[in-house]
Amino acid sequence: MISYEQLLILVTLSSVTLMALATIVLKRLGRRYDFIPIYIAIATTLVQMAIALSIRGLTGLVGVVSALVSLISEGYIISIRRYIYTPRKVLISMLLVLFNSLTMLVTLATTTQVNDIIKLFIYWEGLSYTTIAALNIRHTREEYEATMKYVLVCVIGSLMALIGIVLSVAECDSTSISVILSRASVPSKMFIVIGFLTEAAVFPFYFWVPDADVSMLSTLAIMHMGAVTPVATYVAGLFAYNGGALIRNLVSALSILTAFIGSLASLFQSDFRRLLAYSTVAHMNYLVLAFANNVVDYGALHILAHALSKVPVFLIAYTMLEMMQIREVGYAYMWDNSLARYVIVASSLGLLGLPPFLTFWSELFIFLKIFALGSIFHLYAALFFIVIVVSTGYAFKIIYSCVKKSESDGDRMSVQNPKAALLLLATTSSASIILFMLQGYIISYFF
Amino acid sequence: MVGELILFLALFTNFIGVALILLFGVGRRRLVELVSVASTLISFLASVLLQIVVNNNTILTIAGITFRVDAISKIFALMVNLIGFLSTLYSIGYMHSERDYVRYYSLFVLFIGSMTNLVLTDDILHLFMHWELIGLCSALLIAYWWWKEEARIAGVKALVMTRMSDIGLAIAVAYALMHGITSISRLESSIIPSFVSIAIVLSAIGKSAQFPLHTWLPDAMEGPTPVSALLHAATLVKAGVYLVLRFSNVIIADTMAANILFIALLATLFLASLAGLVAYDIKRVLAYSTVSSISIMLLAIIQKNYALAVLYFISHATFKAMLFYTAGVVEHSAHSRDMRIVHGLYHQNFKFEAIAFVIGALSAAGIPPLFSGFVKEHILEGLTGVVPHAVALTISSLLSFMLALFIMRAAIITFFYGKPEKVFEHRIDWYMAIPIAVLLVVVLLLPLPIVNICSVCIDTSDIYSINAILLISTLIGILASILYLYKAPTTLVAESPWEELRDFIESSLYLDKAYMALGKVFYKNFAALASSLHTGKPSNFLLYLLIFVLVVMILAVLVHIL
Repeated sequence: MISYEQLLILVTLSSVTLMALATIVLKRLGRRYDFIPIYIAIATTLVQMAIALSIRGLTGLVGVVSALVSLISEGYIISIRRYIYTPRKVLISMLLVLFNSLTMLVTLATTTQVNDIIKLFIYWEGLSYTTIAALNIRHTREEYEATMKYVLVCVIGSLMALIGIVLSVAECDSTSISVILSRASVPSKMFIVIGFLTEAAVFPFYFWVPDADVSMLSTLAIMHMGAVTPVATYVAGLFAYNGGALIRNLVSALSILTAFIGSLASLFQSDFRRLLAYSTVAHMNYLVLAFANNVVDYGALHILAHALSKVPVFLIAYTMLEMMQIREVGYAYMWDNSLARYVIVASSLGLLGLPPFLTFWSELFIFLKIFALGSIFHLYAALFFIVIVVSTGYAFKIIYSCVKKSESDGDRMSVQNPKAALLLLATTSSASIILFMLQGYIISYFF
Repeated sequence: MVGELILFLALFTNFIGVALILLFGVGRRRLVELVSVASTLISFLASVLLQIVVNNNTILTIAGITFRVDAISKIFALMVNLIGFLSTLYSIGYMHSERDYVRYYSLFVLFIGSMTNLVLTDDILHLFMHWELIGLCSALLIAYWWWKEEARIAGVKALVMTRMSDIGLAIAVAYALMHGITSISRLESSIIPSFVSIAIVLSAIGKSAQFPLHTWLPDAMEGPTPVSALLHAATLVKAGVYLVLRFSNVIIADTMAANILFIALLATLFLASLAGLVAYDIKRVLAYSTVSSISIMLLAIIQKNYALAVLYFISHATFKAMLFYTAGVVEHSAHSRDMRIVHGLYHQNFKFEAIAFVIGALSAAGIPPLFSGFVKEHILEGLTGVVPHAVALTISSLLSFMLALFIMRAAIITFFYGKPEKVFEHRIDWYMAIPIAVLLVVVLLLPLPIVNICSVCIDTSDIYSINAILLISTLIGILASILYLYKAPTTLVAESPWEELRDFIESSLYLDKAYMALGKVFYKNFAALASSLHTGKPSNFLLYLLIFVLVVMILAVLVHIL
């Protein structure tokens, strides 16, 4: 009987091979067919989503989110093709498929089905290399700089994690994660946690995140902020929770501090995508806080909720940049399109954690479950709630960007409206409202 | 089955209306207006039927959520939907030239539907959800004219200030879930720790705009007038009253929670009365009146006079909505709410509005035989049960005088003082006139039918007795307001030398300015600091990493040694 792990590897390798073959064949046929790899990626993503739905648990939910974001990215590339040129579609398609599989494989490695720290490390590294590749689609100076920062983090983080893994395997005489979590010494676990935290957007390791999210091609950046970084938060959180009181408290406190920094720093940004990148830093730390305190179900739900709100607005920012050369958040009103405005407003409200958006439930239950832990966790929960309130600032900064604030502001611009792409993004934003009503079913299905 | 159907209509018709508006409303103004009026009317009629058909203390389950139909929830649902329906009708006239009507009506109807759910649910998680939803709806409606900076700031201010206090209710929800009790009826009758009672009080203080979180409400006047009417008369600020009423047992049982609330109420009453006395914006005066009226309702609850709290809620909902509708006509016609510009309107063609406003103001002042007069006197009289008799008498007399003076001042200046410099076009249509007329009739006839409704579930005996001292205090306040008729016109128009003092008082002894300054400091310093932390330099990252690892190692060693 083939395992889920083998199935995922098989599907990924087959898809990547097919794409490579298709590219060789299609190169002779010309640019008319250069979307074929994207269609192959869509088919593969659907298979990956089916596998994720079948796996259930955290891996299943992460897989569904990853596949969903991937489908949005692929759908966006196709629907926007008349307005925005997307380079290197074969590589993008391959990377999306790889991201999907690797996010699932990393989380799967921590479950009883695989339960192997060496495999976890290998998949983790795979995810890092895929990120490096994703950072270099267009070979711009901005991308190189972001890549160098990421490589630095990646190398140091991997070394730290490797030291921790070697120490813990030597101590426990086993590669089983469950054995290591229960028997390894605190210093060994600490090295592992620090290693994994470097990619989880926690202070002081988050310095590469905003640059990477802004520099990366947005159709891949949404994958990074929607699924890849959340997986890193889970792994770091898992080891932090099992690393003893000191590590757990330290990570919890750091996550709240970083969430504050993220929310406040985003308030100060004028670049639309950078603002959203800082908001991602804040939300990733909601996840670290949840996972470091074993709030796995609603932490996982927040991955979905965050992706549904963040992805559409990030792609709107990208569309504005590419089609209208508008980078600043304050000029979003210049795009005279009600669907675009709807996406901006709905997504921003979603990032606030208010009803009727799915983030309301995920953030509320993270708060409730952390509060229920008692003693110092009452304080963590209260601070977490305050961070959510602070996020009102940047959310409304985005919302109010849809309106011309003074007569001296420029007039609205008349540009062609990519209806299909906007409809896709509006549907994604609305999905957060629909899933808001189904949160109970989502949790009971996956957990 | 019939009960469930009626409850379903009361709870969900407005949500169906919102879905219809969003799906089919773009480019169809008449359809949007029709759906909005129809859904709020159906919801109102269902609330009336709920009052008649469904017995008190009935627990009904719809879609897995338990709802509780009792005297309090029925009356709150009735008033929410009555004011909701009338405000929707009024909106047709008031907002007829607005282009963004889909956004307006969808939020407006959602607001009403959400408040109805809030007062009828028996599930604390469901209550919290709607508690947050009404906060969001109100913020977006206050900021409806978002091209105006004041409206934008007011929207964010309302959301941040109310949401800060929402942490209290979130803590109560956490406590409830920790103990496996989500039923409000079970929770309110159980013994809960002091911090949870205080948390609930904190939540109510924020939502009901009580000291020290009252400063957002006057600014919320930047929203359209029907929104102000809805927000003040029946929804957002009343949610706090509802919460305290629901959890009155646990709040009163906890001395500290009750004391905190009592001090907050007294401070609010005095600050609001003073601010109302110097404000020139008609709607801001009404906002201060609401703040003080809410304090009076909460005061009744602290005194365990629940019936009086509910009766004052009913009375306040009607006269306050009427006052706002009338102020809306004035604003609509004069394009200003400043009494220094808009005054003496009775001498123009605003006689109907003048009558309605004066009756509303007399109700707010609390003069018998208007119904609110009887109720307010009883509540202020009840202070003797909380503080020593002499102190109670002094406080209640002073409050009666101040509350009467400041609201009547607005009525006198707006409609009777001098003659305006220019002639305003009287802009009122049937959609705006009918709600005012309906509420005028209700306010005048309120005592009889309302007592009949309430006497089913609330003890309304002795309601018509009069306290001579309080009555005289109120009358002095009303008579003193007439002195404004003789105030020199220059002091109204020109910059007064007392302007700074006026500003000091209106901003609640600079409390509001302090909050705004704090917000700016927070933004300029903390946000800038947070932003500057990210230098993006790898060398800084390596330094941070080294420091972090060192700190962690030192901590680990310390923990190991200790």
